[in-house]
Amino acid sequence: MEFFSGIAQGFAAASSLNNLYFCLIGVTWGTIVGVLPGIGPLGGTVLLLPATFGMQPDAAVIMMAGIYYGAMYGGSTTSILMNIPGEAASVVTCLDGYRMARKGRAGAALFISAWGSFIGGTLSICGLAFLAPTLAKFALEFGPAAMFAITLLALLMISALGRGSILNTLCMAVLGLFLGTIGMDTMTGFLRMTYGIKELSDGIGFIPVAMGIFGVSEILVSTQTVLPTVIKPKFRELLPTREELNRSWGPIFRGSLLGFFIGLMPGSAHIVSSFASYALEKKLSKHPEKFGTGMIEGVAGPETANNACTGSHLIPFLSLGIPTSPAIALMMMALLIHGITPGPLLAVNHPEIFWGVIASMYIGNVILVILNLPMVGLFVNILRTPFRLLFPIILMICLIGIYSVNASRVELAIMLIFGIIGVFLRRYGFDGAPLVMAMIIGPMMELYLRQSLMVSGGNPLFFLHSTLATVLLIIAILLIVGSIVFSFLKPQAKKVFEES
Amino acid sequence: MGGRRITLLVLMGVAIYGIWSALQMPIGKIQDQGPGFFPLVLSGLLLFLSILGLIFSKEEKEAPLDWKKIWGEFRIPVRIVFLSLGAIYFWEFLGFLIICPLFLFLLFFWASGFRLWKALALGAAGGLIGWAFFIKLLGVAMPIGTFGF
Amino acid sequence: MISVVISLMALAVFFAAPVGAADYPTRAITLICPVTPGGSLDLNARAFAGIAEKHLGKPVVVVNKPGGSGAVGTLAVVESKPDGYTICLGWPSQTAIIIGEVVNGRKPPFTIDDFAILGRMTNSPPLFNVKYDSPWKTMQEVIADLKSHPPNTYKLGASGIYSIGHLPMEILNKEAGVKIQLVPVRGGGESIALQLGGHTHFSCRYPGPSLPLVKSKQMRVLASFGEEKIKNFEDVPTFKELGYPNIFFYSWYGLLANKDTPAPILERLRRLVKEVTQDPAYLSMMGKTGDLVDYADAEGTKKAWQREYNQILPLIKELEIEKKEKEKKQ
Repeated sequence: MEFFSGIAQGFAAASSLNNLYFCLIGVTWGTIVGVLPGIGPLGGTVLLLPATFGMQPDAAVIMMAGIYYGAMYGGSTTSILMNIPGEAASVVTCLDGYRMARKGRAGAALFISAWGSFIGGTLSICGLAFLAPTLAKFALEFGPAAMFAITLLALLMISALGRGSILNTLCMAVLGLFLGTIGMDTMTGFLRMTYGIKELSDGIGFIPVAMGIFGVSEILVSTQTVLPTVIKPKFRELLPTREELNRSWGPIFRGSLLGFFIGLMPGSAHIVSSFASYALEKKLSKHPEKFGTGMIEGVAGPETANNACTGSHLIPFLSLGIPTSPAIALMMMALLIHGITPGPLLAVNHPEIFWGVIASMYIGNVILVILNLPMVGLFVNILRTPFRLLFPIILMICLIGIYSVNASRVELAIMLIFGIIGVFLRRYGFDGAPLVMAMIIGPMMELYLRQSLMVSGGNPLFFLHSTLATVLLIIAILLIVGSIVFSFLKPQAKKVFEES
Repeated sequence: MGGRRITLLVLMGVAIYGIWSALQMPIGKIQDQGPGFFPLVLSGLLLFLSILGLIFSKEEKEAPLDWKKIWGEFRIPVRIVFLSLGAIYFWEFLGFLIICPLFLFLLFFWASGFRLWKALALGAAGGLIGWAFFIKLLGVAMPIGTFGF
Repeated sequence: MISVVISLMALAVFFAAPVGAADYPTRAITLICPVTPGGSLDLNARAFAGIAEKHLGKPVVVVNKPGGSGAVGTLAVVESKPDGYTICLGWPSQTAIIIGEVVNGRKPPFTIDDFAILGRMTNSPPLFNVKYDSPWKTMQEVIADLKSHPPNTYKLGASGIYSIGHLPMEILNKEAGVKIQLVPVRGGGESIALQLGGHTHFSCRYPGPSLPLVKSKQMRVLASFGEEKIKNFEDVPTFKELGYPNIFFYSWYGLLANKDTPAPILERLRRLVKEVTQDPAYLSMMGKTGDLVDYADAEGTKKAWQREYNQILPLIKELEIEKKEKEKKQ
């Protein structure tokens, strides 16, 4: 009973004109920030932070939450249109989304992406509303041991991202893991391979690398011979075909579930959920070799998953007052500044905030899908612009975007260098996606392994303390061993090492 | 020697460098890993994979790289890279308000092949829109050059 | 021709115009925040910037320049033009950076004397936190437990080596003769999660983050590293009261400018810090986030900074020697 009265109260609060207004600002701003490469939801929230000091606390959190999930909508736009990941979670969308755009199916990709985002986001919020208390305690189970097991699983999924031979993919993944070690070692404070360049002490940022390997290299490759004219899409082609829509339902459904559960994990949940969904769809597909050439499943699944984790990612914060990522930490600060204490008593002491935020997320998702779907036409028109007019603008925006985050020229240089590297990698059959993803997972994996060993006092059987960790670890080992054995059993085992 | 073999050789070089770097750092034991442990394991793995790749690719027939053709193809990308390097180098010295229109203009003129006056106009327009959108509207902090703006 | 002359003259005036103290500031000031956005230091900076704008009449723009535990952003102000338009935050992480280099025989990227100190805004001691349902109800019980178990049995989570969450632990270790083990984490949220999940036992958390956790009965505060009792935690004993007068630590947030900034501009900036810390809007914001506002002028801040430096130097020296011994054995 309390639940329904809560939800009713929430909707009442969220529908107040003031809150609706700020919800609209939040989601619109989030979409813009998501579209702009480099600036992510964190940067976008920070830019609006001073405005929140004077706002009502519920409006402030509603707006900031809106920025957060709005960015998940916008990030896919530049990924699909220009192969530039607008947001960390949109890297995976570049793989098939951009290929679809090159084949003239940009409208369909954008449409399905928005549609999937809506469904994923909405289901996630329902999950949040119904399951928050139960899942909150579960989220605490994700100690270092469980997180280490998840990173092992993530490594497995990375191998599904490659298009070429498995050996090439593995090389890129291991290279990515290695590049991830550059910087200050969290456990000892030791500077690894930074050669006195202080900006490198936090590691080679993966956003400059991703934008370099995907976006900049795309520009460099496309300007190689004759500057290409882009396929001009017709109006009919803006919407997905019946077949494409049908193929998307499965990935959307699976992506929602997957994203929701991965969102419970602390840290970069939206990144992991997007490529977990991609890997899952590739494994389940009847034509896995076609992934990377423009399969709609490769867009529908990941885009749904990264939105589906926004709801569950807020659970530890709304139920326990624990911020699981910097953007959420800002929301917490906004509440604190207004004298509201986040924690288990938030739902009891300030139900209008707890339920108001949940209700407004639902409203926000509706606003976003209404905003984004008609804009598909507008965005696709960008593709009509001649490339030679477009690419300098894109390049400038990339530079601005990267610099706006850390004010570091070193990062600009990294983007350029990886752009050049990306050109050669693509030429010779190596993929950038495993590299980029491994750069994110690598440091996490090392950190959690060493933390686990530390917490257990050097005991290699550290995972036994946590049932969750043991279960995940067993799954991970089984899957890894299974795929190695399986790939040797396949009749074309030899071909695994050659180019496809 | 094909492009793939060269890439694998480069990867092998990176791996060897990685092993050398890692050995300079404290390694520790598996239960109490030092900062060098993980990089060592990874570089070793990379070395193994790249050698494996090189062994197996001996059976392929790869067309040798036609350097002249490649150089011709990369005319415009090289210009883009050169201009970008310049933009990055002078980014903080000249400040955003100079770099943005200048960089755009040079790209439009030299890499895109627009005519001079068209490139100038586009560069100026780009600079104006960039200022209005990023600095005024979004409030993003861009560098102020030594000239004070 | 005339237009060319006029524009050239305008250009000359533009480049040659000196900035007199009377006109300062003529444009926006950049406040460099040497950490990534979202942390409590960043928030303090933004709170300050928001209020400072009103007193100064020009915008104060916060720019995040993270890297090297704060070295990158701090260096940016050391290397900036001494015109008073670039300032940055000062906090104990810089002390740790300097000491870290000095004890290893390397030249530090900057020293305390490389700055013109503008003043200090907040000064808060960390609080020793344990989970609410853990077996310890007083600090004495914790210390007794620590002494009766082998070293490194109990863990404490903190973000970063020699950070403001880690140094208090080492001070406690040294002065009380115990050995708590550090588990480095990334971010305050992770430290809370680890502690609530039972993976770590203790943490040294500041009043801001501690307050909501204590109010919601998720954590208990057993002792304070301050030398006096603090607001909102009046019933928490200080280590001094518990018989350990040498256990104290403070994390402070202050403002620094380039050491060659002209005196009149410095004077204006120093006055600004005082004005902001007395502004009721600032005080109310800080009161809610839990950081203790404790204004100190340039002299006082430098004294406190020097005292901190002298306290931490021998500590880190010993720790580094210990580390090297351990590495030799491996």
